[in-house]
Amino acid sequence: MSDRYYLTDPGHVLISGATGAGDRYGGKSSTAHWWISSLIDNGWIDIAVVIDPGSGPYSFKTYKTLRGMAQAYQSGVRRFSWQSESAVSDVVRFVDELPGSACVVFDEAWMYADDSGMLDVVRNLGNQDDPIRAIVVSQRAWDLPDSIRNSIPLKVWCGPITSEGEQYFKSSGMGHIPESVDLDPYHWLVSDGGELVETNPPVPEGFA
Amino acid sequence: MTDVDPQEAARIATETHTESEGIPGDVSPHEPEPDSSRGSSVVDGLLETDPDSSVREYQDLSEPAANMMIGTVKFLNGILGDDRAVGGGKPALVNFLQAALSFVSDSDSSSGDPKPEPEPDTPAGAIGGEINE
Repeated sequence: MSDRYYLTDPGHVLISGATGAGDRYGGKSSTAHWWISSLIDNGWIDIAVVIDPGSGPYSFKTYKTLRGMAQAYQSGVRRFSWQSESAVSDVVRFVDELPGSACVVFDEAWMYADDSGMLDVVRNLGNQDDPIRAIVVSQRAWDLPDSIRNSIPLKVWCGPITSEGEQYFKSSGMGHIPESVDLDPYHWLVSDGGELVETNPPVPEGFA
Repeated sequence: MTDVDPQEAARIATETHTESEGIPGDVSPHEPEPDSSRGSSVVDGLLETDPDSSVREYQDLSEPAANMMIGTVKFLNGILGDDRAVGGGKPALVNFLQAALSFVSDSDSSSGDPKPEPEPDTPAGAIGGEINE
């Protein structure tokens, strides 16, 4: 097992960071983009799907119907983007029906936090023969329900750690992390089960 | 709601006899094709070299022997029902075969120079200050 086991481990990931478009900080969606692209480029997963109602940096083709996704799959496409917060559970069910392992990025997850599809992936679909791994992206992790956050011990924070972020770490029992890490913009720290694993440099700019 | 039931969509997707007819009106026309030429990151090396069934896993063997080993493991996984999710232990028979191949490899060390070790801490194509999410 490598030091960076979490990259290819099937465990779900929650990426947060008090940053946003137009800010001088950023990197959550870019990190998710790099992560899922690397997984499928290197054969760790068979299908890559991005739920992206916020127009993130993803280079995957966007599909507007399940039929379109199905026909594209039939012609060999394995990367899909769904730019809507509606029918997420249908997309998840479709992906679950396909053979092979998959990873789904749930970007701007707070917009559809009540959708059963994301919860189903996080709670159930990561533990099956053809697992679906979730990379959940939300600016404020605390905007997501406990049922999501508590099911994802692997948490990533994209720098810097703002005062709001410090409060989040403290309230999550991880107050020691911001005390010990000075996280630069675009750098990202990884914690697992409340313990700091490591910090990483920014992902390549091409994924932004 | 979507246009078709997810199970029906999956059935359409996995049909094998239909040729692609294009998807008019369904694909955003401005989306670029996936781009795999973005340069490397400090963590890319591990993703590229660490899969379960890779030559990297058998770096003590020559490359042809390693490739043979990978094929053997895949064959045995098919028999034994192993899969990637298990993520670990190789059957004793595999270890035996690996030892045997290692012996063969040792006697054929002139078959090629070993590949250089990847350097996981290669500096990233670092992002400057211009990322917008």
